[in-house]
Amino acid sequence: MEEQLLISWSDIVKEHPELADKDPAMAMSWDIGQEMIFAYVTFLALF
Amino acid sequence: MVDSKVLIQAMSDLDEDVLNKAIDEVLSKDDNAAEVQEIVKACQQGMTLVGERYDSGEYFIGDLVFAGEVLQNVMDKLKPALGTGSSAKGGKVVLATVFGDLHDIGKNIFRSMVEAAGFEVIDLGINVPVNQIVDKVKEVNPDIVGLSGVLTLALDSMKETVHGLAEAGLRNSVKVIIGGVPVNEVVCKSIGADGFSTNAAEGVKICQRWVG
Amino acid sequence: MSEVANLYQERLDRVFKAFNLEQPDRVPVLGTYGSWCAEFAGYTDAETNWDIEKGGKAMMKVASEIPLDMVHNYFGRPGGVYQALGSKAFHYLSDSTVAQYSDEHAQIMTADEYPEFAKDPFRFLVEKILPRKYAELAKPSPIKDLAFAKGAMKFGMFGAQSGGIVGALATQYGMPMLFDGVILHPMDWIADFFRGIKNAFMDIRRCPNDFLAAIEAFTPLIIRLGMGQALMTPPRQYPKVLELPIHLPTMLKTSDFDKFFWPAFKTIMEFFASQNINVVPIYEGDWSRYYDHLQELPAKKSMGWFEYGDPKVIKEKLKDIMCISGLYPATLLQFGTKEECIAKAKELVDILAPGGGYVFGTDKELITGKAENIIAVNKFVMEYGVYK
Repeated sequence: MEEQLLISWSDIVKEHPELADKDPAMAMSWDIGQEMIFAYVTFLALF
Repeated sequence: MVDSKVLIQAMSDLDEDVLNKAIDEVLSKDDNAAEVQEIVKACQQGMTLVGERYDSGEYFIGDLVFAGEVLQNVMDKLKPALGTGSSAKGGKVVLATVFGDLHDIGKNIFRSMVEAAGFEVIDLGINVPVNQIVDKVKEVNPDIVGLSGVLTLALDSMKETVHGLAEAGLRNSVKVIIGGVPVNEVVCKSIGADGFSTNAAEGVKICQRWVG
Repeated sequence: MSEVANLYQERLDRVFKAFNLEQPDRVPVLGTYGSWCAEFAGYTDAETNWDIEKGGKAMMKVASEIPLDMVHNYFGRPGGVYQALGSKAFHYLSDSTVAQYSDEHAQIMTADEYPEFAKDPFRFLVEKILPRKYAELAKPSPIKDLAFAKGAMKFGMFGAQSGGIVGALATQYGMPMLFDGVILHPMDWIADFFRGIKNAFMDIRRCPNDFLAAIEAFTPLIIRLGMGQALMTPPRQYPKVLELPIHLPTMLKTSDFDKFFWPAFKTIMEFFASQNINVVPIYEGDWSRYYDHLQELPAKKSMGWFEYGDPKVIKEKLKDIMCISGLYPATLLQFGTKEECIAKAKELVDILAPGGGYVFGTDKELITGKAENIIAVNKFVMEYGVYK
């Protein structure tokens, strides 16, 4: 199976069930590094 | 036989399938020159109807762009069979998006429509410097110069272009029309153009009045 | 609190009161200045994209010399990031033109790639989009890996430096900045940067289901991007604010707008409202066909920055839903006399100010304009727009 490039919220919750009641868009509070790379990649897809 | 009425309606309705079917049928025959011309004429007439449907608020820019693509496809497919004799007796237009501006959607819609109305268009593309426009005008001696732009700084470039034509002694031998989002009466006067439009179909009518 | 800190707080209160559809002490004046800031400071747009110090100086000059309550964003771009990656679209660094949409550079994705994009948009961005946009990312490892890392470093540095500009504006001039981040609608994003809008208009007719599926798949990523930006700026008293420039809707038939644009737009607006994050959509073009739609948006959670429209109709239809801004013609500041400029400002303030929920701003971001007109107009609105 192909390795995931961006860890999805459902996978985060599998490992950290205590985060289950937080909103998926709050993934950033779990791993700011991932969110910064995400922002960087999507920013590059503009202009 | 080519049913012009059906094709005019198909172009007006932006129905590619009907148009493609008719084109394929005609291209499969030999000695099809007359029929090919009829298709071209029908599509050009249909394009005028597209302009009217835009004016009436039924069609929008997206539809005009699509119409331009449909018409371009038709012309590309028929070009080999057209040969000589496709007349452009409406007049000659040098067209450009002015220096500093890269937008061309509106310019291209205008080009499709003014060509469909029988004009010959020399399209210089986008971000065109003043001297390039002036040189082309010197070279081809058009009736009309069309300047397009979306950004407010394009208005400065339009002004400089008109000035450039005046400096080269060409201003009085052409009519200048400006088009684009920010153009209006105040701007037109300040730039020194002869006409303006934010609506391609209206722009075509202005051009027709000038050469008519 | 110091005088500067007082001024800062006063300006924030004024703007966010209007945002909340209340009546502040007077009509707030928002600086909507894009690369005009560079022009005002005597730089070219390109210079400020390479040298953020110049960009910062330009912002400081605006904050100190233009009567304002708030600036909208930092106008400069991270030239270093684009250079590190070999950007093909960032041609304006050499041309001295300003940043703008380019149909030629937008066409990097084919229509038959829509299903692959929809299946895993992030992967598609990394594997397909980025190497097509950036020459260095199309080269083999380790060149592309180092280039990617270098770009990321520059991106982080740019974030820190522009954050520094925000801080300096606050501490030196008591000048707040409106936007914490920017997002685009997925349809605009795909049309403007992957397919080109000409192709997008054809996709609507030729492969509507694929296009729609791509829009739907991209929406959660855009929400994530907005959340990330909102959370990356320091916490503050008032809600964070995201900018949402909009491009396609006024060029579409209403039925196409309903199918392709509106559902994702509503989802995005409702999501951020639920997170207490405000959004400022820039309603480019004439949105009068869609005012009834806009009435469905969550109230008090957005500010509509309108380009065109009848201010009376906008006020009447939308005053209970959103704060209103825009409509002041940038071309007037460019070509008009001082008197004409002030007269137009008076006209808009008279219609839009009553009852509050109005922030004075131009119809579009300024890339050029006469400083004396801008100053005169802002000063006028501050004096005339007082609520008794």
